[in-house]
Amino acid sequence: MITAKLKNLVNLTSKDESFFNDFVNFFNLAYHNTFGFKKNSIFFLDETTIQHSRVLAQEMPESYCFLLTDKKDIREYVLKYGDYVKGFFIAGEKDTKSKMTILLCALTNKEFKDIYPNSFNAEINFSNQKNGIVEQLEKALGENKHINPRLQNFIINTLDELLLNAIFDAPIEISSKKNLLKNIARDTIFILEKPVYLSIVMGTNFFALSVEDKYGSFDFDTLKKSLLKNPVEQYNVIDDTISQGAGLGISLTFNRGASLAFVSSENNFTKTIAYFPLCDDYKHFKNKERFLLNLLWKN
Amino acid sequence: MSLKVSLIENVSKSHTTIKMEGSVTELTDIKSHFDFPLEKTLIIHCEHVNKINSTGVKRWINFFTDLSKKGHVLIFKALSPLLVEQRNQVTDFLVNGEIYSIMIPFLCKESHCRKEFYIESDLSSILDILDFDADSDFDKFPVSPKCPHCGSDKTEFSDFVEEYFNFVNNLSKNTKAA
Repeated sequence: MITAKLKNLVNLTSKDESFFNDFVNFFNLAYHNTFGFKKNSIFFLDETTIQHSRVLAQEMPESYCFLLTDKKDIREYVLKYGDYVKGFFIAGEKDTKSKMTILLCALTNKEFKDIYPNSFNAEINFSNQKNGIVEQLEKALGENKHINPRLQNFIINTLDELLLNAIFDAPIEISSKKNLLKNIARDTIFILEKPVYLSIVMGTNFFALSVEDKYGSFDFDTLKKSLLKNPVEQYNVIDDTISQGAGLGISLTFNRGASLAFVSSENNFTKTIAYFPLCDDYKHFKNKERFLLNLLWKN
Repeated sequence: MSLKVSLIENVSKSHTTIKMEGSVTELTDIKSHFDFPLEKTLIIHCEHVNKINSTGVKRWINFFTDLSKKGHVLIFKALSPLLVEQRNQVTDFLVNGEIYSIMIPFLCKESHCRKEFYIESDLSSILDILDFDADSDFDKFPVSPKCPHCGSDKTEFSDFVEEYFNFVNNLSKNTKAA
């Protein structure tokens, strides 16, 4: 088991340090089982500046690090630090201002429940449980006046989307890639063949959701295709033929500013974790670090 | 709160004005809420549509596409920030409807207040402010209304101009010119 260290690379305020501690713990979620740091693990870090990236390359030489960035000069960077950066994707051609501050993350094998004993955990066995849980979260968040209302709404929406995905999109027959619930309308009430597991944690300055299905049908190429869009690029087609779903959930969630992690073991499970720094300023939230972490697990 | 649709005004052979509020999800049958006759022009107030998931987006588009195909002219008023975000990411979200006005989010920066509030602004005013023909590049939205909660004028547009008003780039030239 490899335990990496979180190191901050730019000037931090005490508030930021606290956030970074939460960030460390967040990554513990992704490694809550007995997983080690394997070769096919991939990090995506969004909106990374060249300056930060240099330090990343120096500090994290043994990682397998893919940068998701909209910086035009990322190719130069990759050439210069090619020994450290194993690959890259261009998310768009827009040269936006970089706001990234997180570069390294910590990985431990601690159990989620050990880190957050007050987490809310639920097992979902019926398709219609989703709405009850979403309403409960809506009510709980609504009582917290320090969280921006649009951010609250976004968190609730993310839970909704992750549960929809786990209930309706995850049941895929791996060999044929056939979606077993393709023709099932999303308001249908039925017993899930395999339960979905949900964990919710609210810290002092962060909020995390974890939704796990037991199919392990996660398709990274599909995810990548939908995510490698500039946040201001628009979707123009909702494909009616693919499934009863709209095919928008994760894309819109990421583009609106959620940090996402995916841990998947084929035919075993897929866990999606969404992370939000909490604040009363939506613009500040959108300006915060956003990342996409994909940890693929092969049996 | 599930979806609620209220009839505000029905002017024969002219227009119908309605108010939509609440949420649109996979459980929402939008059509069933329209239990009144509609005139050709439909004005839809959307300030309080506060929840829509991806399946809801699909239902929303299908519903308004049907109305459009039947010859209705759609005019959206007071689009909530949530719907503005949807419109920014899903080109077809308002079908071929016209945006009359949107809600613009502001945050009161007064330390004892820190509340977010929303001001309705019509599209022509927004276009004037953004000066879309001039390739303007705002860091900040150049309007700061008084906070309705504490009266402070220390308020700020609470989003990124380029992202929040992204839909302006996709408006037809006629709409912009109007």
